[in-house]
Amino acid sequence: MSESVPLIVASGLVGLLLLILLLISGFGLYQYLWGPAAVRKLVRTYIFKRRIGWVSVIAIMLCTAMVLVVISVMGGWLDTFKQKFRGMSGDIVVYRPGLAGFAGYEQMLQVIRSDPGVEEALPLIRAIGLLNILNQRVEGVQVTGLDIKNFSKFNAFRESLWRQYKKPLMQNQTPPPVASFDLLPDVPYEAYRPGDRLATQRPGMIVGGPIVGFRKNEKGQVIEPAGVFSLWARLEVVPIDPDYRSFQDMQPVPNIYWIVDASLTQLYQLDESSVYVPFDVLQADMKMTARTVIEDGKEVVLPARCSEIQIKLKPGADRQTVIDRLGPTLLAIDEQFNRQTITSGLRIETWEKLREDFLNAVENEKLLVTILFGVISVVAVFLIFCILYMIVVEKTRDIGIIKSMGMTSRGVASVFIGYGLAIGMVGAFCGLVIGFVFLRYINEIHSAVAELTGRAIWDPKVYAFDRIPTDMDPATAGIVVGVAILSAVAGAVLPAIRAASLNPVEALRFE
Amino acid sequence: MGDSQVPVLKGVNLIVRRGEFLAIEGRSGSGKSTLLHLLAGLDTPQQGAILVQGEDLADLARRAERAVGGEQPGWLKRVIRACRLIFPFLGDAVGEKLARIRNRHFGFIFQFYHLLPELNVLENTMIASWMCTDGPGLADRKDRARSLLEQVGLSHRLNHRPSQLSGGERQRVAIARALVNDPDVLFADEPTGNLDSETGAQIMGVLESLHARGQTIVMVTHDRSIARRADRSMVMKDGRLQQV
Repeated sequence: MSESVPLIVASGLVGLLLLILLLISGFGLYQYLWGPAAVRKLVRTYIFKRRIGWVSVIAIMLCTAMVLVVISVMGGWLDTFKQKFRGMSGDIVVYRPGLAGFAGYEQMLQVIRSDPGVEEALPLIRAIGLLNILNQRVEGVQVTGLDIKNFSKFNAFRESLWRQYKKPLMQNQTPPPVASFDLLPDVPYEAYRPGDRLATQRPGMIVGGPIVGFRKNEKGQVIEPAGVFSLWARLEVVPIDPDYRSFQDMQPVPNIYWIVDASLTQLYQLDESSVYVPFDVLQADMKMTARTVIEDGKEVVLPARCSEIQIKLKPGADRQTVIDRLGPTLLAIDEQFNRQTITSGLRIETWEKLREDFLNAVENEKLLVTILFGVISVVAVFLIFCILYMIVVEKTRDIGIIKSMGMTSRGVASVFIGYGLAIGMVGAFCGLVIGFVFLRYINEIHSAVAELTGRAIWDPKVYAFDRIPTDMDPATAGIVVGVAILSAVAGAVLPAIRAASLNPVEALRFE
Repeated sequence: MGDSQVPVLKGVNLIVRRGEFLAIEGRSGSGKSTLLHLLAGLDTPQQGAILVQGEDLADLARRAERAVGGEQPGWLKRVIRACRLIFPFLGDAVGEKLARIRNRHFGFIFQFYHLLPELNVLENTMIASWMCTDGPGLADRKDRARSLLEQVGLSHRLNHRPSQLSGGERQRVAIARALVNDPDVLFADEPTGNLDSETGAQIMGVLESLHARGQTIVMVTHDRSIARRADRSMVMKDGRLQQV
């Protein structure tokens, strides 16, 4: 509580300041619209005939555009992460830390599927593998084994597939309702692997686009490498025993696959290192199927294992309620099947909780960058203050003239408040337009700058997405524009007070 | 020195009658401009009264100054003044009344014309009428400004800027500007002081024709020959006003 007191006080002061500026802006607007015609005429005169004021308009415009772009790019980054994470995941994830997975998942699936809030639940296997494509490219990859027909009904994974979804849509064809690992009918697989009698029986594999050379051209169009869907790949995985303590006794298991599709999730770091294979094939290679072993001269049946269970809830079902409902039973099953393993216990978490550390870091980064750019924008307030103060000093005699003709002090103040308000409104509106246009064409602008300078600022390997994501939220844009206008008014307040306080006779004598 | 007060006007007693053309003559520094500023409600006298149709301008000016923190220390005075200026609900009724009197009842002609450089001739003439929130509409005010400019022979210069005019033309714009709200009293501070004798004579001709139509004029000048063209002439010497 005591830690939050300074925060509450600071928020209160900022709120009070904004309220005062809002009242002052209201006064300026009222005087401009319904006050003496002199206020309107003089404000317009200063706007159109005092070109130095345009510097303030440009300052407000640039600051507004800058803050909007920063917030939108950071917001877009965060939202795209959330969408992608969400799109590739269920609502709830059941998993057990470690590489060996957990047993009893079939019993768990029965319990989960019988829950009234659950629509579907699917097991996944996650593993580390060594991928060798045509003996020409070898690299370490994250392997996911999944029941693709059900998984593609389950989330947005199907929509990331180039051959089965994106390309048909681009060619005005209807994509198949579910994704598959099926081999392509028009590819002569035997010809590509002469001597391999099992060539047509090899399983299909989906690879992340960058692994097989998918890229985008300057216009942002996807370029499909020629012949990519007739390549074979050897994947070696290392079966992990539930009681593993060392890799020493583990033997890698190879398998040959045909690349049947490429996944382009736009999460570059995911795509550049992920491959997807059929659940049952990977389960067998990882020795996670149910099997009988001899222990101390007795036959022991080891139950089948998976790495995680993804749960999709029915619309309207509350995640925490379902977790609370399923938790005890799932933990009991875990206790029954995995008691002897060395990894820590079963975890049941929402997808946000699972990604919490990363998403919070991005959220904090967004806040930090917004505050930093907001502070930088305070420069515009001082610029407006300096320019308006300079105008007031320069126009001291004019102020004396209009006061001698019967302009009230309030009228004089409202001329300068109105001038600041006009600067803020014009600058903020132009900033909004520039920010919007910049964000609309940010990737094209980035490409052009990269072309000119020979250096790309947005590196997808660093920032995860292959294109700069943006998200201009109308409410946020409204707040930024509002604060920009109030900042311009803040810069005008002291010059307005000085102008209004001038004694007409002293002002007329001003040299 | 510093804040010490130097009395400028001493025992001044003056009555200006409706329709009168009064000239106050005096050397530089004699206090004649100060008297004009006080009469026009631009400055605040420490003592005495200035009665305009029964309203004491001097009292109004002193009350207006007090209302914006006249007696307070510097920083407090500024805060009070800022609050009164910025927040309409705090009001500054006395100051606004004084400004309204200046706007409706008085017109002012300055030695150095004091036209606003960004505005054209027509706009400069209209500026005092823009300060009224009631009365005739903008179109009628524009017609009146045009008519006044025609009277001073500047109907062909409506869209010119002050920088494009000669000294005499500028002063004629200033006269038209002073008359735009049909003031009861026209104050002229050295209206010919910055002009050659020929142009000065033209300006005096304009003032005399206004006077002939019943305009009350109070003029200060250091030029005796100009002062003699008024109905009545007084001399200001060391802050004291003497009948010629």
